[in-house]
Parts: sequence; C-alpha cells; structure tokens
Amino acid sequence: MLRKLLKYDLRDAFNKVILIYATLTLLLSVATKLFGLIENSAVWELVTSISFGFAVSGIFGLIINVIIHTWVNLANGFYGDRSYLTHTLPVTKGTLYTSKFFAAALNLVIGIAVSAAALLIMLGTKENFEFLKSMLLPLADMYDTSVAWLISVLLLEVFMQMFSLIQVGNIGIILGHRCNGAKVAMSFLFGGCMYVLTTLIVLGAAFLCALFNENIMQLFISNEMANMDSLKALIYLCLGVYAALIVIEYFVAKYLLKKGVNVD
Amino acid sequence: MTLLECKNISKKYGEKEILKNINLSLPSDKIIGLLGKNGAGKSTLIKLINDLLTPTEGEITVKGKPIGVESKRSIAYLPERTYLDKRMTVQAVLTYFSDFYDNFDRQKAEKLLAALDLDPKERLLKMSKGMQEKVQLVLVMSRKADMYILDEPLGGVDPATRDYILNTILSNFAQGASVLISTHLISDVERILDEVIFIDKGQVVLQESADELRTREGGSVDEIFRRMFRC
Repeated sequence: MLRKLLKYDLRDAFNKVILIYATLTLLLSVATKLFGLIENSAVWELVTSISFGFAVSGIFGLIINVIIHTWVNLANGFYGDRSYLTHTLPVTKGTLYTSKFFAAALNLVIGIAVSAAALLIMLGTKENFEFLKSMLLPLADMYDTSVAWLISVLLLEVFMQMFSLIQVGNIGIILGHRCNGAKVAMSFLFGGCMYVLTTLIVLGAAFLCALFNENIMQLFISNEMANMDSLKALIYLCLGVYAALIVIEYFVAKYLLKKGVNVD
Repeated sequence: MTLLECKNISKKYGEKEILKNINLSLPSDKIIGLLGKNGAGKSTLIKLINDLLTPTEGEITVKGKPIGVESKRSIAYLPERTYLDKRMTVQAVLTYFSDFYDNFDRQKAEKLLAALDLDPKERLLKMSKGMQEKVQLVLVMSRKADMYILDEPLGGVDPATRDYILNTILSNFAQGASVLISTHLISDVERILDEVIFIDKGQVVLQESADELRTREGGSVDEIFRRMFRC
C-alpha cells in the first residue's frame, strides 16, 4: 500500500510543483546562458541580467513551493475535504504519513538538484569554475578531501535543514488540527514553536560539544572566525543532529496521528 | 450477527458534549435509518465510525475488531461532501479505487457510470456538483462491502435525483451487507428501512425494527419522528 500511496503523492507534487517550477527554472537558466553568449551590448546585458534575476527567483520559488506544497498537501489530505477519502483508505495513519515523508524527501532532492543544475547552466563558465576551485581548494585541503565532497556536504546540509523545516511544519499542522478552534492559526503557532525548539536543540548540541572542544567554544565566546578544525567538527555535528531530528520528527508525527484525528 | 458495535461512545469538543454515552449494535443484512434533526449528532457518530474523529470515551468495533485497516476494508462510506481530487478524470478515480480497495468492482462502476452518460476522460471539475456526488455514490456502491454508510445522501437534491440515489443504493449493495443511511428526510427513505435509530441531542433515544415501531405507535416513521421531536 505504501508504494501505491507514494505513487499518488509523488504524482500530485510532480503535476502541481515540479513540472511547472523546475521546467520554468531550467528554461530561464538556459535562456540566461544563451543571452550571455550573445555579443555584448547594453541591451543584451540588461536582458541577461533580468533573465538571471528571474532564474534565481525560479530557484527560490522551486524550493519554497516544494515546502509549501508539502504542508498544503498534508493539511488538505489529512484535514480538508480530501481527508474523507484519505482516512477511509484501508491503510494505517502511519503509512499515510510515511508516504508523505518520502514524497517530500524526494521532491526536495529533485528541487535542490534542479536548482544546482540551473546554477551550473547559468554560471558554469571556465572562469567561474576556476574561481570556485580557488576558493574551495584550500578548505578542501584542510579537510583532507575534494572540492566535490565539500559541495556535496553543503548540499546535504541544505537538504537536512529544509527537510527538518518541512517536518516541523507537518507537526505544527497535526498539533494545530488537534485544537477545537483557530486550527490554521494554531498550526502556524505550533510550527513556529517547533522550529524554534529544533534550532535550540541544534544550538544546544553544538554547545554541548563546545564543552569538550575549545575550538568550537570559541564560536560561542568570541566573534573571531573559528579555525577550520572547529568548522569541520561543527558541520558534521549539525549534519548528525539534523539527521537525528528528522528521524525523531518523523516518529513524533506518526505517534500524534496514531492517537487519532478530528476532521471538521 | 452483530456487524458494528458502539460501546459507551462519547465525543466532546472542549466542554461541549456532542455525543453522550452512545451504545449501539448494528446487525448484518439490514437497511438502517439513522434519523435525527439537524445537529443531533448523526454525522459525528458516522465520522467516529469512519475514523475521521477520535472518541473522547468508548470503543467502536466492526466485526469484533477496533476501527482500523480491517474495518475500512469492510465499510464503504459516502460522506456528505465531495472528497475526490477534482482535477482527476473519472477513469483516474476508478483506477484509484481499484488500487486501494480490493473489493471494488470496476466493471460494475463503469456500467453504472455509463448509464449516467459520463465520459470517462472527463475531469471532475468540469462536472456539476450533483454529478460529482453521483460519481461518488457509484464508487461507494461498487464496492462489495459488509456495510455501506451513507451520510445525508439525499440532502439538497431534487426529487428525481433522490429516486436515482435510492434506486442505486437498493439495487447495488452487496448481498448480506447492511446499509446505514443518515438523513432527516425520513419520508423519502421510509419505504426501504428495516430498522430505525432515532438520535437526539447526542443520545440514541430509540433503536427498533421499522415495522414494529409503526405497529406499536400507529403511524409512519415520519409521523412518529415528528411527534417525538416536535419543536
């Protein structure tokens, strides 16, 4: 049943978000690249700049829409008119949520991948690559790794943060709809509180590590740039904490749904 | 044989008690009317049975098991609102039901929809609300369920459509299954009811065979209901 649910959840997101925004973003990035290739003139530079602006907006729009679509889809599917079908399907509420969880993860991966591809298309010149390499190579050397690995870690960090944001929003919606009134407002309130809580947990975990690591402690007690070793430790720590948070958020959402829903 | 049982069911929203200590036992192979005024608690009870609400107290069992995956396989539910994704075509909706309900008879649904002159490739959003409701009714009645729960299926429709709905229900529910119809339009459904449940102010005030009730009280169910709940 999970496979079938996932098929419908993915299809829904693909039709409503991915297809439109990803196509638009990629088209704009290709257009920006093509305009940039045309012989320099003031008009074409202006057109290229405008196209670049739209493409960057498209990238943000894609990610933001993936996140908002996930929330709206959960709210409509679990508490709107469609919930009369969702909750009467012969599947557990846990399975319903698991499908939404994986669909959101996959959509976010697609969103980030398309955004990265759009940036690559627009800015992928030899000079830019050289510039990026010169910026990141010393960092990669210090981490004893490659530039590609650094970029991958950065993208993973972005994914983790965004996905955690999606999960806390989901929990906010579930908690908000357990209230007897002002459910949308309460969803925002709970979601906001959950976001603050998760941020505090990440900060708290970093502070705990700082107690045992002077380099990380420097980030808390001074405004000097931390050395590379402490940054490396901090990045891995954040990745670990976000991964743990995502798992915890998933089980919290499932637990709350297992306790039942109250559909208007 | 008892198909569905509600034991001491209460539902509160804050301090407001919508259902008060409901005890019900619904048998197989009967058409049962869940009758009550607007706001009596009919829809709340039905939503509790369908896992759309969580009871404050008590337990509901279907074929001896608590509400869950098994009960959802056994119950075909028609809510009072349109719940389908309106961007879907009729064909896609049929595929959706085939995917999730192993007791869904697609051929039967196609036959019933053909009788409505519906193009399977037509999207639901292009249909009138009345037609969307008919599609939902066809989907529900094309399942070989143990129990059909129909919440206000006649609400807000013209007399001709009421006849279509009642005929579709009567000629399509699975053999041996029960049908629970919630309505306040008693005169329209009276002729088909085997049993009636009167619900008022969140409490079951009567559960009896329709024939026995008519004989005992001397009048139609509609008249008896009007007498009992006169404002």
